[in-house]
Amino acid sequence: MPEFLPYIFLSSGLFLGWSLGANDAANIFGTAVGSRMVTFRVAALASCVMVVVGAVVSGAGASRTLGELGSINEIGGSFTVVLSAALTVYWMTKARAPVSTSQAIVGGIVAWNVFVGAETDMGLLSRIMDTWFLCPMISALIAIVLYMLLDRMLRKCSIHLFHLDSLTRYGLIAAGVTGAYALGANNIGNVVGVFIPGNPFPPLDLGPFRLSSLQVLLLIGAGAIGTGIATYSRRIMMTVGTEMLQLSPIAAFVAVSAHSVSLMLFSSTRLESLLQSAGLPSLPLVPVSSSQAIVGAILGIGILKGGRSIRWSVISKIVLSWVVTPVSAFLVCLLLLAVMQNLFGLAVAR
Amino acid sequence: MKERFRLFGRTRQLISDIDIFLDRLSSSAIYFENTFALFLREPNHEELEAKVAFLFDEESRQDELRRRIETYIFRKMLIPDLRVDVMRLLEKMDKPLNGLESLGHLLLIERPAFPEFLHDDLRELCGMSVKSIDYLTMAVRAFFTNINDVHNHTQKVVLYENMADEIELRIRRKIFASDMPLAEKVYFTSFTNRIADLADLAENITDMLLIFTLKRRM
Repeated sequence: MPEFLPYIFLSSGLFLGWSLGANDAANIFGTAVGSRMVTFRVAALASCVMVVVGAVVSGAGASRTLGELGSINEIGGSFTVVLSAALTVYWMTKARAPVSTSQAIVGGIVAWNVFVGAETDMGLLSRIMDTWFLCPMISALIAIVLYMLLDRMLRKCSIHLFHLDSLTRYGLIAAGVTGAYALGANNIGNVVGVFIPGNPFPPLDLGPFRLSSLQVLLLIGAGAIGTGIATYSRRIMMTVGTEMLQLSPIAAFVAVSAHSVSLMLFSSTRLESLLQSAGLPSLPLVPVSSSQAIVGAILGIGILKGGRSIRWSVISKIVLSWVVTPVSAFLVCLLLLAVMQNLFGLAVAR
Repeated sequence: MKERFRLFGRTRQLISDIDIFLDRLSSSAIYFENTFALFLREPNHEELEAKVAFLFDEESRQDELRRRIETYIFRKMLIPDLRVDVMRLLEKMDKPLNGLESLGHLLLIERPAFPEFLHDDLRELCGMSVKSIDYLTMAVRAFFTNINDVHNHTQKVVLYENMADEIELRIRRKIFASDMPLAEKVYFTSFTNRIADLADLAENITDMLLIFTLKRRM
């Protein structure tokens, strides 16, 4: 195999990273930018920087879990799995359906296992699928608790309307920054997770810093997410902020904070070891969907307010997309693997 | 303290401007009450012109300040969810001072010769209208600072408006029970209405404020 080929294969991961950045940054800063509480420039800059930091510093935990689900041992296979996920995400976006990149990549990996006859770790798969219910539920719960606490606090403290406005802006930026860090840490696994077994990058020496070959891979994936945020997220941020979510800036802050906290819960290796050492059940370190987290948080606030303002037609469409995404990615991946192997003679497994 | 100063530096001046805006309305209302009392006592008092001129200047300054506040809120894109409400509220809060200034000018131009038996009632009516404006400014201030207090103040506005209505009715009865010419009866009734209108205006703004307060609660 030519030396440059692995890098070409990685392009599907970068494509997925780009589309993830373009879509998922809207979950973090959409309400803030859409409500004009934060400018797009600030949102894009903060997201780009923190996604890279999150991916490189804390990205390894969730990425390894995907590696465990399917040890794709040939880079041609990784390329096809990620390409099918990227195409699914792209088509779902075109169809204006909310996207879960994690589900798309999981669907692709399972398809690879089926195609090559490798055994899928059903225990791990069910743990991952559990998070598709757990993540929005935990996010909703966090949003409800946070909203009630904040509401009580604001009723007790007399904060001037304009001071509250300033505080909300700072809060939205802080929550967005945390969310971007969590997005980088948690969702980088979707972008480069399947490339880990066949990682072509050598370690990189940057003087005072030394990046391992895994960190180099994470950095490149994070760069793709950052590019997606900077180049294509503005329109989607405005759509999410003005059309999807009818929230006040404070409720938006609660939603984004709950979303960020739940993403952190599913990617923090420290929290996992802390819970385990305390003898408590830990949450699986799995790349969860930030769309699921934000939808769960908004739903939580809506339920707390009596449920009248919830647009159930939108919610059912979202839930349907959570079913359609992994199934589509699975089918597309099976088809692509067959095409790659039989038509182009590409090795998709050893 | 230094941290707090820096944290809210952007809005410190704006908050101070809104305080001045509300203070000016409140003090102008009390100033008008004194001017009106002076007019009833001595319709040709030499200070009347200066007092009405002062109200006129206050009204001009108030317009300028309101524009500055609105421009700042809009330019800095503050309170995006409540911006339109606050703008509308400030526009409406400009009206009572316009009314006071306009009444002041009417006193000077028309020099209404109110009969002696109406003086006490007119003073009382003016007092009720001024009080309703005063409580309105308190309610609006509470809207910005502590929404839990808005309702307490708006209740007072409604109370004083009702009292103003009763006094207005009493004045009308007295006017039409007197033997003055019909033209004078109509004229004095209309002037009395204009004083009572100030309380009505305060009550209308209060209704709007209560809706905005509901919206402000998360």
